[in-house]
Amino acid sequence: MKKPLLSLAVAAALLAAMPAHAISFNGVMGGDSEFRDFSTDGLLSFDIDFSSLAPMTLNYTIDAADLIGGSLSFNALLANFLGNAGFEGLSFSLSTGTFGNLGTVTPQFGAVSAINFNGSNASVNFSQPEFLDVAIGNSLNDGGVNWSINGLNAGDSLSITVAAVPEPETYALLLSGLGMVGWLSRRRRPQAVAA
Amino acid sequence: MSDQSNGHPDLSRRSMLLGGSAAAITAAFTGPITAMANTIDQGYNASCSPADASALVTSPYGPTAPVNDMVTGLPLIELPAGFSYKSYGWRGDIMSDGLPTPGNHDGMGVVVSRRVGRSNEIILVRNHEQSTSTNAANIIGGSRSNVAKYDTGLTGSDYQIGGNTNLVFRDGNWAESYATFGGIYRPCAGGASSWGSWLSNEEIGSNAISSEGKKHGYIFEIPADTSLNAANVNPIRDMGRMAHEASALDPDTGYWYLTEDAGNANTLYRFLPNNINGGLGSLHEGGRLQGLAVRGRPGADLRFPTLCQEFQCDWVEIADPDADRASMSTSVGTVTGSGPFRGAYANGGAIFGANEGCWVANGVVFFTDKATSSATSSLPARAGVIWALDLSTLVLKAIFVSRDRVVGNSPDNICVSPRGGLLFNEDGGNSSPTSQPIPSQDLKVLTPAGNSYIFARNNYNFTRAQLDAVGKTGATTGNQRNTEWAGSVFSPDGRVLFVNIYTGVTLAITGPWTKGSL
Repeated sequence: MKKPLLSLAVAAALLAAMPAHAISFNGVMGGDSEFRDFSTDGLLSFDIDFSSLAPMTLNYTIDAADLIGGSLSFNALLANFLGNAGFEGLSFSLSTGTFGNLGTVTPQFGAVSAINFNGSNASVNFSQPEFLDVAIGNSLNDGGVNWSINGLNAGDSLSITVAAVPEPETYALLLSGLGMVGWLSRRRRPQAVAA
Repeated sequence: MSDQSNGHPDLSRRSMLLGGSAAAITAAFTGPITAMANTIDQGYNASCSPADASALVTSPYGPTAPVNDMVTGLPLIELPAGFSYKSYGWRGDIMSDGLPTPGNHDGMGVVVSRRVGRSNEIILVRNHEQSTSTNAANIIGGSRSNVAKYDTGLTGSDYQIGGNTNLVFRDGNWAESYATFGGIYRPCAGGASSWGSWLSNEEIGSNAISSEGKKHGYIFEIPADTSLNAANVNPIRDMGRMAHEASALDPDTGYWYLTEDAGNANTLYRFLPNNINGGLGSLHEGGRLQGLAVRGRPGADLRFPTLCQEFQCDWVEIADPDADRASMSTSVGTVTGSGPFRGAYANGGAIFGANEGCWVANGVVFFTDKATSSATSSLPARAGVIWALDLSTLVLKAIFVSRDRVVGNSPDNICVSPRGGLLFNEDGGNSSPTSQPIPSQDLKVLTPAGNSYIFARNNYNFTRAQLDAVGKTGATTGNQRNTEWAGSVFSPDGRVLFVNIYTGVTLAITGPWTKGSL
């Protein structure tokens, strides 16, 4: 009985003596909302304050120490600073790996109607739009259950894109605005002169 | 005796005054909130139309309809589409300290907003505008030695049972509440400091002395966390003894602006602290109290302005802010004036009807006069006026003048949102004359043109059985739709409006704020 215990103790000592290796944050690609990274060994974790509808893509490098349990845990706190629109839903997509178990989704004022995932994509829909924050997993350390991401390997570059889905009327305004821009653009285009 | 300068001290003090919770707020919430904070003041002082009176206009948020409370399921209020709310701290609810929540929910302010780990935590202090009781057990915190109390003695045959409770709102949910101060008389509007405390203002004009040798009509300071610093039981005497209403801090200068609810015997006051760097207890170091006067018109009667009417003002000294109240002859008749008003009037102080709410935003003092609308007796006496005093010029302007309770019904507490919208809490009646029936008291918004629109309506009308069914056994029953709103204040990030229905419940409201001007 002593040998396995000794082996475990040696392994633990070696792990403790090893230089710290963990998920590393490599910056943001796309999106203009504020974010804060809280990732630690084995946990992908961040907050985003959505002040616009532009999706946010956060880039990380995965280390072996992150995958000791086989998968990477994930949580996030996603805040609504849009001002005039509630979150009708949220979408998540991974550049590599797949979503395993989806844990909890806790909107502060809204209500969840559906949580779906399919491979590298996941989505959350709200039956009542959320105007404050949404806790994904245990980001607030309040007993929530973290999500998990499978199929990752040490050294992988992982990008996760998070998008806030606004209420339909906001989309309509956005589309009508784009339509107006297109119409103005056509009006301003110089007319071809007939030869 | 008049002070024609605005008396602004070195503006670098602003950074010191903002050194407490405000700095923490800035550090914790950058980007989106900073952008909103930069839009404070929509220019009410510049775009008011010179009409005779204000009008009710269509709300940009859309019409209101009853909305169920997310906590109890009861339709406590009407709101525009997209808004929702959570109730908390009902009268009679057992608080986190085991004491029952007092009633008469009045002024309220955010005194701390911070991140604790990744959590977003807001601490509010709430006034309970309770008056007196013959039963000492009704003194707020009376049974607890850790709750500071000013006066537990008898005045005549009564104890003073007004006081304060603190509330914590964490991550979009109400988390806890507890008693923080007692033994005072009717704390009404009050006001938040920038260093994590609240000024609880007694609304009483009296020369009576209790069995403990205490007078009333003072201002007290309540810290955000009374487990670290108990409330100071000593009043801030230099801020005056009178029927206080609101106190509003100008963070640019460290000066406070005070209102008094004394019919035809009050003015706007300014308090210049000896220690303008702020901090808990700094106001107890004393200061000068001054009153507002119209230049060249001593004792000016400002009860009946027209919309956009302007007055060039000065500040006049008040010799003894703790002087007794007494009968006095003024330009509007014989009144009983508080010591501060008598001192101001003696040096030319102006006269208002009955001032209530007060808020400073971007160098402008906004305050309400609930009592007046017109000298014509056929018009309602409590329709109300909202004033704006530009601190850089000392020009006072009537930016809202209601001649009809449908337009404005005795505007009481006010607040300015982080985006610059001014919200006023109605505390009026429904008796004629009005242009339409008045089914409820409203939260109304002032537009830059000097008009108003409805944001929310009081819909509190429940039976004992309805309230008992949701565990609110101590809540008031019956039709309370015409009970006042009070204590409105936005979270510093502008996403949540906290407000009281005076009947005895506190609400946190959120929704698509930028669809309108709040």
